[in-house]
Amino acid sequence: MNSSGGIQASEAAARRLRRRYREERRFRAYGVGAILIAVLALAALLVSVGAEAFSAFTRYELRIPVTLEAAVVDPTGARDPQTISSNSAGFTQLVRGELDSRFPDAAADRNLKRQLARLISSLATKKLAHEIARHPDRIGGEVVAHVPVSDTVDLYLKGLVSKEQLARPAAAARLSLAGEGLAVDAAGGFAGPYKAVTAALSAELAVRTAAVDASTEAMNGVGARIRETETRRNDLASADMSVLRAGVEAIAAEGDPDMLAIARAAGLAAQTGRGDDLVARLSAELDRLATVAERESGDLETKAERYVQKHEEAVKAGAPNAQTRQIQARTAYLAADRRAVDAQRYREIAASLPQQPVDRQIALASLVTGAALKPLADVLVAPDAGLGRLPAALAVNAVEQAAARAQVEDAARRAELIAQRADRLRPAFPDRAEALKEAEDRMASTEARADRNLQLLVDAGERLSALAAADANAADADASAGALGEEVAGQLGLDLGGPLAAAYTLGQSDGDEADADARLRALLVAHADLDLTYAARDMERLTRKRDIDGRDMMRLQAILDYPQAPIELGEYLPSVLIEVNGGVLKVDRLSPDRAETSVLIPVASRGEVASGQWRTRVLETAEADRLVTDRQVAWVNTLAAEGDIKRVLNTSLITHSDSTYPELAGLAAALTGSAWIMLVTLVVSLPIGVMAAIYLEEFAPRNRLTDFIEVNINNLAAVPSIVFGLLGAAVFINFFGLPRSAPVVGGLVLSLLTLPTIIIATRAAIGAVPPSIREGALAVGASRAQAVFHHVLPLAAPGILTGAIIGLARALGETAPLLLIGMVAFVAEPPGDLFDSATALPVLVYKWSSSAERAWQPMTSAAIIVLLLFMFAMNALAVYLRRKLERRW
Amino acid sequence: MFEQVAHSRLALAALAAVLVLASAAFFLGRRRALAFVQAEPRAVHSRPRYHGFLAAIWTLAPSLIVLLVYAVVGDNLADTAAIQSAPAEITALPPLEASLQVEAARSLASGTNIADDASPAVESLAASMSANRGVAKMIGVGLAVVLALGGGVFALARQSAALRARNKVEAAIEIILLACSGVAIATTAGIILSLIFETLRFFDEVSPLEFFFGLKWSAQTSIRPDQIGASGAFGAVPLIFGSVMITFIAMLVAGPVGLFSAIYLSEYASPGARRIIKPVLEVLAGVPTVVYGFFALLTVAPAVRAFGNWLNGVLMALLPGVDGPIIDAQPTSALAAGLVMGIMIIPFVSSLADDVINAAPQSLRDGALALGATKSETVKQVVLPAALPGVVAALLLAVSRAVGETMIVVMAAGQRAQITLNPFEDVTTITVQIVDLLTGDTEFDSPKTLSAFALGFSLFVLTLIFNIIAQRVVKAYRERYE
Repeated sequence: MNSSGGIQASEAAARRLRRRYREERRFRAYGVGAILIAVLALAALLVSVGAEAFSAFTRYELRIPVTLEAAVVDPTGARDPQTISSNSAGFTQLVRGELDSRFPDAAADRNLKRQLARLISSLATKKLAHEIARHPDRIGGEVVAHVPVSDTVDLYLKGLVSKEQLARPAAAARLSLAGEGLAVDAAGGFAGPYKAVTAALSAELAVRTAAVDASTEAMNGVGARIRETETRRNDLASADMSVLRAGVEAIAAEGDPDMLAIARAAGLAAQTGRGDDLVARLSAELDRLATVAERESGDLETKAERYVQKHEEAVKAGAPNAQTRQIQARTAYLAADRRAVDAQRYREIAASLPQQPVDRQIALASLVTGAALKPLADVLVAPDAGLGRLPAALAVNAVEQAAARAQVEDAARRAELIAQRADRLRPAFPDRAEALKEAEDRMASTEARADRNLQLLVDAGERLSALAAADANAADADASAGALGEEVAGQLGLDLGGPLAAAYTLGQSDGDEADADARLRALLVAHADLDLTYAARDMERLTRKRDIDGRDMMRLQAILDYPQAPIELGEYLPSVLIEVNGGVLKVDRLSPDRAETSVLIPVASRGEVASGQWRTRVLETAEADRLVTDRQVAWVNTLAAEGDIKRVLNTSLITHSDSTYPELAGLAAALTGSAWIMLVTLVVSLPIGVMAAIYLEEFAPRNRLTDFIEVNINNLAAVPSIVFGLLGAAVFINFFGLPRSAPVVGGLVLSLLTLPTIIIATRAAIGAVPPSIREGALAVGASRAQAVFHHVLPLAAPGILTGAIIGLARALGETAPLLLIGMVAFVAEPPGDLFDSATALPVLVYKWSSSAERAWQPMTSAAIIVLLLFMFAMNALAVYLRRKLERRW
Repeated sequence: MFEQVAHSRLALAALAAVLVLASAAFFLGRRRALAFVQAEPRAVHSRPRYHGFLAAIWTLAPSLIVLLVYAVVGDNLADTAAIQSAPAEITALPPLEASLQVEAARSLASGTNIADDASPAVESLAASMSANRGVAKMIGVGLAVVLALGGGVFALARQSAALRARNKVEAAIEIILLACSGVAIATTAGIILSLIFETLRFFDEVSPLEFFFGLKWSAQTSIRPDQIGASGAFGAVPLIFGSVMITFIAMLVAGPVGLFSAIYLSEYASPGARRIIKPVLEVLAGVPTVVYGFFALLTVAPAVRAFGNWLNGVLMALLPGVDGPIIDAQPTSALAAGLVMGIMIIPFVSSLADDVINAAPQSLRDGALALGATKSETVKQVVLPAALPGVVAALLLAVSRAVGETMIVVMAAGQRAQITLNPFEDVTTITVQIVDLLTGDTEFDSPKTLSAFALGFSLFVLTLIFNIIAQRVVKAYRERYE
């Protein structure tokens, strides 16, 4: 073993040592890895936000000379700055008019005119309007309007909407008339665009192929489901009682338990002829319904009275909302009356229940459950039960007729009750009586509908009786009865295998075990049939989808199989534009050598064009998938080529306030709001925090109270910031009644949030001042206050200052508490004082980030960059002050 | 009410007058003290300016207290008096109705009325409120000015060479300092009281059993008044589950990364590397949470979703015969929010753990190294066991921070209250729901709004427990090695 020399005693020891060193290196690598993760995360955050923000620091601007027609700009003619500056609509009209004259063929078509107008948003000329309002003498003259283009155009120009391929083909092009458009012939000139289009087609082909595969797979799943259900259905024939019962109970488990209990009791009653249980359950349910209806009726009545009062006040004051109040009152009264009638009717049914015969009780129960309670399944598979279909069908038909009759009677009775109530109300409330009259009419139509259903059932019953009377071939009659049952069920929309029927069947078998298995089996068969119907429907849908996708797939494949074939470009394929002779053509049909086009901007001349004198532009994103249209692309590129659209620094990011248009929005209001909030925070939290710290560090006796305060402050520092928001909402807004969204409330909340930070920082700074300073002061006769205020505090000031700045920087980034005190309001003007509506920079970030349009994303990122710049500046200031002023003892 | 003071010229004038009086008292007091100095230099106890300060304090303090009291309760008192003699139309109403009318009158009297329809009864109540408020204002302002004058005169009259003005001034300063540290207690009390008060009101309408054990959360109250059956479900379990799940994911990230970077920084890194790395971690800690939220929304959530879909494809290929997606990745997910929250907490964990590890005595390390242990063995077998309580406390504080974090989850976790173990699905948390319930127009009498306070109270208690345990542990740990 001790074969090797050196320090190591043995091979094993050397191995052990190597293992330990390996472990050491690994452990070290973990540490480096952890730090790398943290640093990379920071880098990823800054890079992703910064990259997104970059495009928002510039914007595209339309520069177009317009003549300021006095009639449009200042219709009053008074040259009032107020009127002029608020009339940006007029200025926008002028600029849009100028665009119309630039592209006259677009101005003729309404749709095109609208597209052209959308190059700028309607508020885009606000700045121009303000400027002209300051110099009204320029009205009537010509100015160059600088107008930001709309956000979709801006995004397009920044390349954020679609990838673009520009090419100057080496071939000469020949333009000729073809149909309504122009044909462009160029040998091999369109090879590039053609390749782009076929690439898009291949991508689409892949999508379709995947869709077909997915559909096929899903169809296999449905097929398996169908086979499984069929097996289940077949197995029912041999299933024993316990299996059947479990199956039915599983069906009956879905649904409202109260209703199911009633159905079960109804089944029991039907089978045994004793309705005690049913009456008890039904009465309880009716009682509950009545109570609810009464309560709601009362609530609605109170509400209606308040509306009436408001209506009267509104009439007195001549307020415009009187009409609305009246309608509100009328609606509420009507609802209250209806609910009162409901309650009355429920109580009435409940009271009459015990005296009714059982079948009538079941019919009334069906009013509550909303469906006729019967085992319709019996009719369909009754031979199993040895009953014969015909008699079963007749029995069921009787039950259904009873239920339908109950419905008709109920509607009639309700109409009666409504009429009675209307009569009672008429002397005091003619309006309410009138409204109820209409309700009665509606009740009559309900009655008519119920009556039609009853008629249907009566007809079916007669046909069944006729079959029975004919005493024809028994099997034929059974088959007809089954068909008839299904037909009636279809007409009435009855659920054969649903939970209610299941519960009813269970009730029946509770009462009498004789035919229980047959009945249960029949129900399960009906349920399985239902499942099969659904599955068949799914299968049909999937087949249709697969066929459509398959057809598309084949069509795409066919196009791709012929490499040179012309391709029709719809709005779902990349757009190909041709810029030639000062015009722009949009390709409708493309092959490598020839393009058939429609004209977006007219060309100056037709005929031969030399190579290098024309170019193609491919937008890879299809027109249907973007907001900027091909026309707009053509116009914008023409304007840009003529130097009328320029990229400029986005100064409005700082100078404008929030807007609904991303290209016009800015941070001015949020910055002002944040400044106000910071001011309040500084003024409140710095003095209080510093004084509290001085007390705790220099004056406080060591006792329970000061211990408590200390623990308190430490805990306060760790309380989630959102809880401070709740405090602000409950105390400052709800209790003290300060206005929502006001900087003063935000400032107070953030003060409380910052207080612990400042106290802890100040205590640290004071604690760092050596005791010799204090003792020296005390030794020459200073009082304790003098020692602290004249000697300790000045020395601790740098530490306090840096602590305060860091605390404020953190407060600057706080969002959640401000959300809770309503600072998310839309603020279009910088707040003028501490009680104005305001918002703060981080809240604006949150608000913009939840806006849907793509253009808000760069804006949000830009706002974040501004926020981070402020925070880093504050932190850098703190570090600088610490380096510069800090004294080491 | 402060607003009324700030916007009322009379109150502002009174404040200005009191301040002028106070500075007058200061100069008068000082001048008279100077006269003492010239008359009998040996008998004077305090320097003249302390006499001035004392006079100013006597002028200022009582009247400021009166003004403050007026600002806080003045209008309320006036309104209460007016309500005592409110018109019969209002007192006859049921309590809820009556309080609505009183609120309307209150806003009418304050001039913040936005409703267009006030009944004559409300108007008359508002009129008597305004009248009472006027009286209250006159009393408050008058009393303040009178007290200022009286206090000043009193202080000046008591001046003498032997007066221990400095001691009195310093005593007053100490009281002010004490009051300032009392603000911290007042804040805590305010938080607890407001949360408890609103929470109890909430529990009047929803049973605590449902709130703490209910599995369904749907904080909806009826939008239309005559809507039926739209009362919400207030079972907080899905929210608590969401908070716990996201916190767990965050700690999976922040725990190991924070601990290992703390160990590396305190045990391995050279001072130069420390000087660079620590500020970088501090930058990570200084980034506002709303920025993390946007980062989660912009970058992490789409990446997580893409990863989820890819994983789903792999699993589907591995497990044939499963219909439907195994992982149904959502645009916002618990995983995205948890990951970003973990990144946010890394510096928190690492700086706390760094402190704790540094606090472990050097002698322990030296002993282990002297026995021939490698550095990693020293850390794993000696330093970490010794620092364990502190590390646990640091992790607890981080957990409490994660549970209370709001903006990241608001922006990246979603709104669906559900209990799921699939981190690719969206969940909602306590804090998300608080923001959701209290953003926009809120009225303080619906269970919907009040439930936010119940949630806030649960959150507060939860984090408080974590904090107290953590602080206890840290304190005990510190004391052991001091």
